Amino acid sequence: MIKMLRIDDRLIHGQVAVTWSKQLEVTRIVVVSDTISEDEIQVSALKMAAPEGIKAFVLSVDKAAKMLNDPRADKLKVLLVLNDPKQVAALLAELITKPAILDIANYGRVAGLDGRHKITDTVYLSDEEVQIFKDLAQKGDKFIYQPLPGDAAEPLDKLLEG
Amino acid sequence: MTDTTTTPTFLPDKKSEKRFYNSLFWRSQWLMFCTSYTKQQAVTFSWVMLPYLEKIYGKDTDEFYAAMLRHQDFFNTNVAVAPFVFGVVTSMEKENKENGVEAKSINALKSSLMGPLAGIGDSLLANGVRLIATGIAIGFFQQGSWLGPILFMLLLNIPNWGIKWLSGKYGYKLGNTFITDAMKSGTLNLITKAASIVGLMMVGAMSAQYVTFKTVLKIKSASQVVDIQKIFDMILPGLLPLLLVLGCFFYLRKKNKPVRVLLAVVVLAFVLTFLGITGAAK
Amino acid sequence: MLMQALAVGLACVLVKFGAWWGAMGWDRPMIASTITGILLGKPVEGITVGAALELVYMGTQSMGGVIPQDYGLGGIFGCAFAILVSAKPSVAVALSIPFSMLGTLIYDLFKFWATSLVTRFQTHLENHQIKAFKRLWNIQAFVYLLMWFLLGFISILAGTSAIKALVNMIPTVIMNSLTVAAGMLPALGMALLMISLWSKKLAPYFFIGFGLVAFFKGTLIEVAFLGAAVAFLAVIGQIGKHTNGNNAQPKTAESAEESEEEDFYND
Repeated sequence: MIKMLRIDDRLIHGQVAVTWSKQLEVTRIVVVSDTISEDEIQVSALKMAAPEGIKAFVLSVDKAAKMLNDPRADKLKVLLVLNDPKQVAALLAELITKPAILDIANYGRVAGLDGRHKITDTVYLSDEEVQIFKDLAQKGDKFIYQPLPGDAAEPLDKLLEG
Repeated sequence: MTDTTTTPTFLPDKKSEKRFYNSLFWRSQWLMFCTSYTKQQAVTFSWVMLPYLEKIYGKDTDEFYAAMLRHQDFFNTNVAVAPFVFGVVTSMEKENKENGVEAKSINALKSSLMGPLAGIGDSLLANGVRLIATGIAIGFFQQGSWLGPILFMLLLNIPNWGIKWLSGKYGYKLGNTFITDAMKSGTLNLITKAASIVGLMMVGAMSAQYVTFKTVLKIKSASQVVDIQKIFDMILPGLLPLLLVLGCFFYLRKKNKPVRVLLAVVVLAFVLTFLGITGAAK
Repeated sequence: MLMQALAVGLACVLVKFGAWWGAMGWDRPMIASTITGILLGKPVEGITVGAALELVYMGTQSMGGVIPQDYGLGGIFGCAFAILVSAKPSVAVALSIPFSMLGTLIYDLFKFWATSLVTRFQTHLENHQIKAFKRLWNIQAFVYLLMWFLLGFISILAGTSAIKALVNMIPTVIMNSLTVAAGMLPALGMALLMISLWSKKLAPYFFIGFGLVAFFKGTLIEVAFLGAAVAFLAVIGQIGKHTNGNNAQPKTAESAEESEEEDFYND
């Protein structure tokens, strides 16, 4: 099952690799990105960042959906990490079983702050991206904002309104 | 360092290369300063790069300012491994000047390296080396011995500074080919695993050594006084501290904030002492 | 009290400097306390109290730029009060906790200011004013350190007598409770460390470490020594495995894809 889908600019880093993967006791970390999965250097770097005992994969949206929809994936505990809301929407549309938690933790600072509004200290969204999350919420895919396990989970809808 | 030609050649010989490693080592130490919410270490990243970009593109040139602005992008990584990124980026900037590498790929590489490197740096240094250094030094601290601070500084900073020195050098030398090679040998993963094993053993050992939790409760029966702590010691030495550590651990794992666990422990200590179960008695 | 306040202010500057500059670990409570002890003229007390403080904060560390508690300030003020009002180590630990929380608050304020500077740095570059860029960078570094100096200086100057009165008022049973709590709190530090180190496969190493000390009265240096050997044993079987496992150059692109898929489902 997919324990969590996390949106994080930095993909696999300290917070993800150490804190969340232990907290959720995952055995797989899958970075889903059509662009990064094409880049050998980035793929290698990300695989290296996975903690001991956890296998990391970097897959395109289609490949990830295909592999996660396979019944054999049900017994795995998976953490998905993405860095692009558009691809998040594309992936969620293809998944049969939705992730248990949808978390937006760090976004918008790598892509550039121009034209993005501050939602929280670590999340900056453009109008287009706000719309993506509103559409997703209507379909029942509601995101929370929770950078670290010790932080309180705040619903993204509320943050977007406020 | 008085290079004022308009078309400078960056690091033409061995000697200037060595000077560059030296300079990078010292400048990169400042990386944490001016951390911001929006861009974390970005400002100081460009500040570290400043003299190298000046040398590559020339002082006050448009190219120089373009490069400085390019490096205003969000950046955040572990300080010990950061020189690696600086090294790679410097070699790519030089390539950019000399052979016209796409500037966009420099930023792409930066953002793909910072996360994984932070993960490696945090687990290796913060969890591995720091723990071992603390475990070894803390006993000397308790005795009030100067060996404590000296040992701790050396055990922590020799690996810390060693990694910094080497990562800057190899980052520049190998450019972007390095990561793929290091991956193929798998050595980095093994080092991280070995560090976690020693770290976990040290945590176990320190739990036994430094958690003090024993009862002063004595039950008086008709003929004798029974010391409850002695019974615990007979069952398993260190049983109560072990249970306390595991208790805190599982309580934390249930998504409780550390501060709440801290309060719980303090309250427990007060309650048990007021009830006369624990106390200051030796 | 003026000299002591200056000394603690300086200790704050040194600790905060050595925490960031080169990540030398001067903010670890052991070192922060040692530095404070030296500056207050009682180095040995600083070192000893440092051990008690470190045990409480050992599991706290900054990760991904987030510092849950400012253990560096905790170390400084714990030590300062142990020396200036002769508080017992257990009381010093208790007094350090509010300062460790105040520290994160103060730093948050600074970080807001630093964030507001980001656009100014950018404007200087856009206007091709490298001198202004450098100057602003120097100013922010100076303000950062000055801020910590003032915190240490003012707290000691204004707060010591109140703290002294408070410490003298504490009744025995509360004192005993604090001593018990100080003994128990390292358990939290250990638990925090386990959160980041623990995995089912590695769990036995924790118990081996525990047993070596609890049953066989080993010292930590002895455990570190054995730990290195054990870790080598555990890892040696895997040397070389990685090379032919994940990363062998695939014969064809297709078979590589298949093997990646297999690898995903199998442990």
